Amino acid sequence: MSGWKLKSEKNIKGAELLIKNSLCSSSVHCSYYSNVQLMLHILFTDFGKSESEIETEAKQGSVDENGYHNWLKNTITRELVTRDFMIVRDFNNFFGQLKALRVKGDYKNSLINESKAIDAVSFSKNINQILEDKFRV
Amino acid sequence: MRAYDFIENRLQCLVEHFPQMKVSYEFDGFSNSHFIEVLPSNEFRENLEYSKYETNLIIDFISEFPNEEIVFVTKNDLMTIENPLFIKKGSLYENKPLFWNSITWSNNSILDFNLKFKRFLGNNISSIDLANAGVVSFDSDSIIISPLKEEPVDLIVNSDDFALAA
Repeated sequence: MSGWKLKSEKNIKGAELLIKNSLCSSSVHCSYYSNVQLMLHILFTDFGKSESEIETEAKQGSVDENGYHNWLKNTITRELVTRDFMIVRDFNNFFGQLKALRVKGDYKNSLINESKAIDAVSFSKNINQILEDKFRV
Repeated sequence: MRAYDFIENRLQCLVEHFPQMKVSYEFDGFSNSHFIEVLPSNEFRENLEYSKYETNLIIDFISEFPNEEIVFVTKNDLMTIENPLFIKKGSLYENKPLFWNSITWSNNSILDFNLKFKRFLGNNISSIDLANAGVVSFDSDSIIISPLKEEPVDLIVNSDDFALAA
């Protein structure tokens, strides 16, 4: 298991612990990063890229596609199109919503309530499930 | 072409292709994401043809504007549209008749109608003001009830996915 995969799993557990301790705004960050880390793990295992290749491509991708996370999501989406066309919209829409909620949780002057935080964990788990179903993890 | 123009054009085509649907657009500058809320939610979730259409739109958008994000949502999703920049409604969205699918019990169309109507009332409606409702048509698969144009029909429908004509 790669460090990314381990961190992805820990981040979901972290999100659940934070919600349990009423730290709902902070939890969304963990839910979101669980997906980001699993996607990095997929580049490593399924795409067969080395860590340095991922770093180099990410650097260029960040410039071309407005940031590291956008590049990562687009890279996974382009591959997903070839593997299961009909799952693309779920992946895109779940991740897009979670990303926006995470930005709200991290940067906006408003709090995330428990209900949204729980939904965010659920979205994150759904995204991870899609990734696990369609890629070698 | 800007992403906004691309989206506006494609959403216009969308509601022409799916006249029973309504779309609302909002841009979130914080996450650089274009949000589109699609209603009714059952069409968003279950209409296979719509799913394909939306998927193609997403793929085209990513290929044309890799720097930005497009996200489709529906009612009760994680994110909601609060201040839409524009709304587009299909021609059948507001005037969508109340309809449901059923089975045929007999060859007697009036008996079938009564059975279907009774079943429908039991399943979906708490009360209906029949004085203001008119049956437009029915066949072996569906019954369509539309209100009289002059008066709104007072319908209380358990599922709020039904658009009420008024």
